[in-house]
Amino acid sequence: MQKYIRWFTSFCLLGLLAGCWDQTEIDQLAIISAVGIDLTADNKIKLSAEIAVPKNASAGQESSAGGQSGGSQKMVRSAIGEDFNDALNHLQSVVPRRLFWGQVNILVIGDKLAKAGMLNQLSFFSGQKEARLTLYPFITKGDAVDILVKTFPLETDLSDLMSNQSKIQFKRRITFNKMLQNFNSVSEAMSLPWVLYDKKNGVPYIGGRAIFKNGKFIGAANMRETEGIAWVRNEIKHKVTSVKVDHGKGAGLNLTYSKTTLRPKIAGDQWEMHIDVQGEEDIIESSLGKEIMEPKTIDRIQKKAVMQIKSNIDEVMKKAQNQWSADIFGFDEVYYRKYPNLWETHKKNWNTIFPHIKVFINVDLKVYQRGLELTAN
Amino acid sequence: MDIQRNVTQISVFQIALLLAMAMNSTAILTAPAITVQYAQRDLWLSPLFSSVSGIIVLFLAIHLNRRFPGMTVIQYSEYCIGKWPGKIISGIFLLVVLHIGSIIVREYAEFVKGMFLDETPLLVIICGMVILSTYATRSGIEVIGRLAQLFVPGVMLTWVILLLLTIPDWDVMNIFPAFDGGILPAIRGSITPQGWFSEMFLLSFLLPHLKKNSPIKKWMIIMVVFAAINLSILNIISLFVFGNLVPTLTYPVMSLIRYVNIADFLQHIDALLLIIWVIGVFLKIVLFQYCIASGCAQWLNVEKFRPLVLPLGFLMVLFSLWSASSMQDLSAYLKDTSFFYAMIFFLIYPLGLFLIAIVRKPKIRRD
Amino acid sequence: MGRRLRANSHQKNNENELTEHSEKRISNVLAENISTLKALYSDCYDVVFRSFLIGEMLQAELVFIDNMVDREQLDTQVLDVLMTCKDSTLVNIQNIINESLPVASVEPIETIKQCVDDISLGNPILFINGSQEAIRIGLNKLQNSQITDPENEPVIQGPKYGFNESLQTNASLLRQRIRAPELKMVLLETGRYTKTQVVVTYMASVADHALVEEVMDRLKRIEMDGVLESGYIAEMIEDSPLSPFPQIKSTERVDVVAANLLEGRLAIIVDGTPTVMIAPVSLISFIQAADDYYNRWLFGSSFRFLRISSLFLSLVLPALYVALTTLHQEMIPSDLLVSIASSHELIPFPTLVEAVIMQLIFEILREAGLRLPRQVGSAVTIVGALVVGEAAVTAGFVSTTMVIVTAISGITSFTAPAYSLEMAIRILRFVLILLGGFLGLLGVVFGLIGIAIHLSSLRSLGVPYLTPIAPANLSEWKDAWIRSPWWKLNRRPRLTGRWNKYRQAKHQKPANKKRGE
Repeated sequence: MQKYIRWFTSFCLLGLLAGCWDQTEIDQLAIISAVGIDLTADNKIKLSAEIAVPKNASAGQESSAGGQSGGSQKMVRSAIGEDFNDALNHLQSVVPRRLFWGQVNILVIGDKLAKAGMLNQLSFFSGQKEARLTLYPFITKGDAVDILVKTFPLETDLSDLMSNQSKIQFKRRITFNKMLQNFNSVSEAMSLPWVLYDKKNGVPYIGGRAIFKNGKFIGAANMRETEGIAWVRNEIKHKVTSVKVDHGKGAGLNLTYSKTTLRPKIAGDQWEMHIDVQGEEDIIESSLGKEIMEPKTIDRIQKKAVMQIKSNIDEVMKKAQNQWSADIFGFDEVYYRKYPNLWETHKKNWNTIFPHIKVFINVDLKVYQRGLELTAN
Repeated sequence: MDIQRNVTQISVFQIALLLAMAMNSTAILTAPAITVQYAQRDLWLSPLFSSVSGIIVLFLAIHLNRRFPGMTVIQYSEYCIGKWPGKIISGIFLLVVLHIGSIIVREYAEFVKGMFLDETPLLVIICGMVILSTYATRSGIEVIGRLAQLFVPGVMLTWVILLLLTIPDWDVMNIFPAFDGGILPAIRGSITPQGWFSEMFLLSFLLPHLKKNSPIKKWMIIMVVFAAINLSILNIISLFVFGNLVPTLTYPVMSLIRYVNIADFLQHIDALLLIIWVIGVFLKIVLFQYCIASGCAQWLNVEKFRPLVLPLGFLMVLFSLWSASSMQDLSAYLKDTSFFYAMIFFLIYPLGLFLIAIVRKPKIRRD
Repeated sequence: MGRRLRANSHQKNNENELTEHSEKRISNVLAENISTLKALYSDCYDVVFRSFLIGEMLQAELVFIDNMVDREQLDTQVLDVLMTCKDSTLVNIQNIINESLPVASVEPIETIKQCVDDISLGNPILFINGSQEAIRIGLNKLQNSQITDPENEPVIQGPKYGFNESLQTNASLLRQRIRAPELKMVLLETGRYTKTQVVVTYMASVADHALVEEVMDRLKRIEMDGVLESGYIAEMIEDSPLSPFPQIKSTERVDVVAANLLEGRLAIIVDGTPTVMIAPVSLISFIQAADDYYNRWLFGSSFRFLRISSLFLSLVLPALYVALTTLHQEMIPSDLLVSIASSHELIPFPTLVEAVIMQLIFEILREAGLRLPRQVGSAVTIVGALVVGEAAVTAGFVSTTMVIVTAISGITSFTAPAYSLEMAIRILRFVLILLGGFLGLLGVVFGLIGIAIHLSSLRSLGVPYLTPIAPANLSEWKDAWIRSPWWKLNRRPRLTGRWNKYRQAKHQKPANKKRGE
C-alpha cells in the first residue's frame, strides 16, 4: 500500500511540473532601458521607450567585419494614451515583443508633464513587479522622447552620459526612491536633474536642476545655482573651481572633502538656519609663479574660495526663498528633527515661513598645497 | 539494520537556530511595514519590546517541561485540566497550529507569486513547498535539526552581506526625531510582532527530544535577543533607506535589497533574497508541520507520527488555500487578528496550564 | 548499547596489552611468547605462525607476515635446513646462527617490541623453546613488482603507486604503510561460486568496534553467486542504496586508505579489484583530495575551498542560467542581459530544451570518450568540441552563452577528487535544470532544499553523511572546509575515532613556547 501511495505522489509531482507558467524566452522580450513620458498638446500622455535591439550572434559577426563596434543598437517607440496605463497598452501593441521593464534605468519626463504634475503617472514604477526604486529620474526641456531618440556614439548608457560629463560630481545620484521621499514630505519641494539638448554637438547634457514645488515643476536652476543647492544639501563630492587672486592670475582648486551641516534655530518668531560648510581643497594648478609657495597667498586663495562658496549659496538661497519660494533644501525635515513639537503646529504654514527664514552661512574651507612643486615659467 | 546513534535527539544549538530562523523568516518581509504604521520613526525599538512575550513564552515552555519531563503540551494538558477537557483543548490547540502553519504557507506563496512568479498557480507554489516540508518532517526531528544547522549559518552570512551592501544608501538622520510621540507608539508597534514571538511556544514540542543537561535557558535567551535585534536592524535599515516611504511599501526588505546598487555593477541581487528567504520559510513550515504531526500522534495516542505527516500536509495545502481570499485579506489578518489568535493559544493557555500546575501539583503516573 | 559497552571495554584491553607487552623481554617458554604475539596480532589474517621442530626435537616457531617475506628463501634456507638438521647441539641460539642458517642477515633479538618491529618490516622471527632470545631472519621482500600508478587519482606531490588486482599485494602495501600491529586484517569469503576473498582492515585502537562488527555482519549476509568487483559489495552494504550519493568511498591510493584507517575508518579490500573501499565516509570525504595534505596547508585549504565552490557551481550553474534567463530576466545585469539576448536571438529551441540538449550531448561525448580506446578517445573529444562548440554556434543551433555555461559546468565538475560524487552531481544537475525551467529560482531552491533533506537523512554505516557540518562540530571544520596546518589537527574525527581522541601531541606548532615542556 505504502508503495502505491509513493508512486501516486510522484505522479502528482510530475503533473505539477508539467507547466511552464511564467516562462518567457529571452528573445521574446523587448528590453527597455529608458523611458520617457510627455504630455501632449491635447493633454494626453505620450509614453516612449528606448528598447535595446539585440543583434543576433551570426549577424553580429558579419557586422563586426564592417567595423561596427559591439553592443546593441537602440530604438525608440512611442505611444499616446489617455493616461499612463492607456499609453502603456498602446505601446505594447506597437512593439511585437513583450515589453520588459526590469532593466529600466532612466526615466525622462518632459517639462510640460512636470508642470502639470507627474506623480499620478508614475505609480507604475513603484508598484510593478519588475521595476525598481533605483530608477534615475530626469526632467527635460521640451519632449522627453527627443532625448531618448538621440544616439550616443561613446556612451552605451544614458545615465552614464549624464553623470560623467558634468563638472561637479555628486555624492549620490537622485533615485526614484529619493524623489518619492521628497514628494512625500511636507513641502513637496525638491530638485531633479534638468536635461538639456546640445544642438551643436548633438548630445544631451545636465544643465542644472528642475525645481519642484507642491509636486509641480516651477522652473529650472542653472548650473551655478545647482552648485549652491548641492552645497546646502551636502551633495557635492568633487568639484573643480578656479580662483582669481589678482589681475587674471589665480589657481585651480580641486575639492577633496566637503560636509555641510544644517543647524536650525527658532528664537521667538524668528526662524533661523545656520549652514556650516566644511571643506578641503587642493591646489592643482596655478599661474601665480613662486608666490604660490607663500602661506599668505594660500590665505588669499582660501579667502577668495570661501567668498565664492558663500555668494553661491547666498544667491540660490535668495532665489529659492523669494522667486521660487520652494524648500528645495529639505529644511522642513531639519526643523522637524530639532523641534518636533513646535513643528506639528507650524507645519501647515511652512510655505509661508520658509521665505522668511534667516540664513547664516559659515564656510570653513582649508586650502592645501600638497607637496607638488608648482614651478611657473 | 543500521547503527542508530542518539536516535531522536536534537541539540540545543540546533533548536536555537531553528527557532531563530522560524521567528525571523516570515517577520523580515513584513515587519517594517506593519510596525511602522504605529511606531513611525521609532520602529526599530518595537521588536525589542515584542521579544518580551517571546521570552515569557519560552520560559513557560521550559518550566512546564521541567514539571512534566518528556511531555509536550498535548500530553501534560491532560494532567493539568483533566483527561477530556485536556483532549478537547489540545484538539483546538492543534487546529490553531495547523491554521497558523497554513497561513505561513499562504504568506510565502503570496510573496513568491507577487514578486517572482505572477502567472504560476498558487497551488503549485504551495504544493511544492508542502511536499518538501513533508519529506523533511517524515525524516524526523534529528534531520530537521541538522537542516537548521546546515542552512542557517549560510543564510545568516548572506543576510549580513546583503544588509552591508545597503550601507551606501543609508540616510542615518532619518531616525530623528526619536521618541517624537513618547515611547507609546513603539509599544503599540510591537503588538503584532508579539504574536510572531509567541509562536516560539512550539519549543514545547521539541523539548522532549533535547539532549540531557543542555543549557536551554541560556540559548533561548540568546536566540530571542538575537532575533529581536535582527528585526530591529532590519527595521532601522529600511528606515535609513526609505525614510517616509516605508509605510507605503508592501515588502520593505524586498525593496531594500532591490535598491542595492554598488558602482552600477553589483545590482539586481534580489535572487539571493529569494533563496535565503525561501529556505527560512521552509524551516518554519517544517517546524510547524512537525509540531502538528507529533502533536496529533500524541493526541491520538499513536506511537508513530510519520503516517500522519502526509495527510496533515494535505490539510495544510487546503487550509492555506481557504484561509484567505486575497493578499489584502491576508495582510489584514496578519496585522489585526493574528496577534490575539497567537496570544490566546501560545501565551495565555500555557500560562493557565502553568498556574494550574503550580497550584494543583498534578501527579504523574509513572508506568 | 550493550554491544557498545562490550566493544569499548574490549578496546581498552587491547590498548593495555600493547603497552604492557612492548617492553617485555622474550621469555624462555615458547608458548608464552607465542601467545603474547598472537594477542598482539589477533585478527590479522596475514600474520603467519609456523611451528615446527628443529632437528625433530626442539620446538620452534616462525612468525612472519605473509606477502612480505621471501617465501621461497624461507622454505629452502630456513625451514628445510632447520627441520632436516640432525645435530642435537642446536640449543644455543648462537650455534644456530653460526652453523645452520645460510642467510645473510641474521641477528638475535631480546624484546617483544623488537620482534614486533621486525615482523612489521617483513622479517621473519624465529622463536625457540628454552631460549631467551629470538632470531631475526632478514628475508623480507617487498612486493613492488606489479604496482601501478593510480591512474584515476593523480597527484602532483605524493606517492605515485596504487593498489593492484592482487589481494595479497594490496594487503602488504597497507602493512608497509602502517607497520603497527594494531592494523587488523580480517579475512572473509563471499560469493557462492567465486569464493572471493574480502579483507576488512581497521586500526584496533582507533576504530569503533561496534562499527567493525556491523560491517562484518553486513558482509556475512551477502549471498550472491559472484563478487567480481568491489562495487558489488558496496551496493550490498550501503545504508541507502537508492541515493545518488556514494556512501562508500573507493580509492586506488594506498596513502588515502592509510590516512583514513588512521582516522578510525574501515577499509575493505576485495580480491581482484584495484580499488579499496573506505567507510564510513561523509560528503566532505569526497571533497578532500590527497594533495591537500601533502601541499602546504594554505594552498591545500584554498584549493579545497575552490573545489567545494566549483562543485556547487557545477551543480547549479545551468539551472540558474535557465531560471534567470527564462523567468527572472530582471535579475540579470543590463549589459549581460542584452548580450545574452543577442546570442539567443535566432536560436530555434527554448532555453530549457537547449540546456538539456547541450548537457546530454556533453554527457554523450564524455561517455563516448570513455568507452573508446584511449587513442580514439581524444579524437572524439576534438570532434565533439569542434562540432558542438564551433559549428553548432555558427549554424545557429545553440547560443554561445549556453555553450559557455555547459562548458563551465562540465569543467567544474572535473574538480571532484572522487568520480562517484561527480556522477551524483551530473545526475542531479539535470533534475535542477528541469526544476529551474519550470519554477525558476524557486524550483532551483526547491531542488537544493530537497537535496539537503536527503543528505541530512543519509548515513554511511550509521554515521551522518554531513557529519562535520550538520550535526555540526566546529573543531572538525578544521579539516572540512579548509585543511588546517597539521599541528592544529590534534583530534581525530569524533564519530569514527572518539575512543582515542588525539592523534598527535599538542603544541607542536613550530616555535611554540609550550613545545619544550
